[in-house]
Amino acid sequence: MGDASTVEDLQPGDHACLTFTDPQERLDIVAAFVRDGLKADQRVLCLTEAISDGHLLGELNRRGLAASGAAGGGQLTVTGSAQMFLPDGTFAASRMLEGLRTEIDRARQDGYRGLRITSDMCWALRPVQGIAELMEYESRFAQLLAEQQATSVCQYDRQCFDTVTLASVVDVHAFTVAAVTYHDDALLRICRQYVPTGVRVAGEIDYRAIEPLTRALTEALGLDDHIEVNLVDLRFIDAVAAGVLLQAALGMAPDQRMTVRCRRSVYKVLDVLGAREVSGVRMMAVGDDE
Amino acid sequence: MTSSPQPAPDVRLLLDLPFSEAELVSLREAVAAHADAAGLDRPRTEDLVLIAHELATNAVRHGGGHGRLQLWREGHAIRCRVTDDGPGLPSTVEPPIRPEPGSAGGRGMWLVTRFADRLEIHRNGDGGDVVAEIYLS
Repeated sequence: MGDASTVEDLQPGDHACLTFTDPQERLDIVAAFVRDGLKADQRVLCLTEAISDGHLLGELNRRGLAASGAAGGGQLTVTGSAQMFLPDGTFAASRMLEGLRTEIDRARQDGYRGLRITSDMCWALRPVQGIAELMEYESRFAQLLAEQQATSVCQYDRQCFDTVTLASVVDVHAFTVAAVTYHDDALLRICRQYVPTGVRVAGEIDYRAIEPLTRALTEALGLDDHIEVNLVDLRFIDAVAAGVLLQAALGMAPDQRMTVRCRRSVYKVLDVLGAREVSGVRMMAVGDDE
Repeated sequence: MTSSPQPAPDVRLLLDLPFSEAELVSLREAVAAHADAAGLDRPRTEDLVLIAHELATNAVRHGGGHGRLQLWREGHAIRCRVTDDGPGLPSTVEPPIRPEPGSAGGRGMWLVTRFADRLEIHRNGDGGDVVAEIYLS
């Protein structure tokens, strides 16, 4: 149980959990899950809690998905988790599963090739009646998904749920989805970004991490002709790490492009080293608090 | 009446830190904290942190693996001095030329040259010794 997978490998019938610490990474994986569902002509149901439905829709749009259009046309529904899980303020596994079965049936009746559901599970932190049925719900939900060939990613925030609950959660899901990670320690995280395709580097990077950075950039450029290098949460970059980025950009094929999003301090380093003169590179500075 | 020599009244030592590779991260944090406390604004503090890191990295990678960083306030400037036991900077570093975007190296000293308001590279044949200065606005 809980085999590692990537969001792009999920198949109809799969029941996966996403245990996350970084809200940006959660949004990226949710966006990939939605994108793949829309592309596969499935109906997509996004249940959100930590951020509002309007905010989530905006985040999906910002990542290049035609989310508002899909929502208007009925293919995508973004709504509050609590509305679905706790319609009268209490949780009942059977009622919830019945509701989901109805959604799966309705998606088929409406001509979609199945349903995919992603739910922010932090509603379960509320002191609600029936919460003891959570694991029973997850286990029966897995059966329902398998029988009905629907797909789900249940999102659990590691910073909110206790470790015992998280361990039970991982046990009851067949897969755990996470971003492909090239480096992860207290100072630096380098992982794949799914929507848009690229690399996300957060924390502080110096010459000691050029090997995973090179690997991440090479793999991203192998996957897509236009990659985003998301450095929005990068606080520090040194000359050697900046050089790796420049060399990766210079090694791009003529039809490849790289958009670098970064804070002003990182922008300045890359700019002084000539990043804006490299063909195919687009630099975007964002506010430090974005 | 005789008086013992006193340091100039407007010179204040902020940091005196021996370092090796393991201390590079804490060195960046210490420089940032002291520059901020001395009243340097955030963008210039970030510049100074980069300068300190690049000079310290030079010492670690090319100057014998370790060095010493001193940071002090002098009048309306913050000065950062990094010394090491290595061969010192080659004379080709001057005059500073921006490395090509694809070049193998040379970026660190180019960034230091561009980010510092003033730079002194001492070549007395006795190890590396560089002082970078950032003006307090």
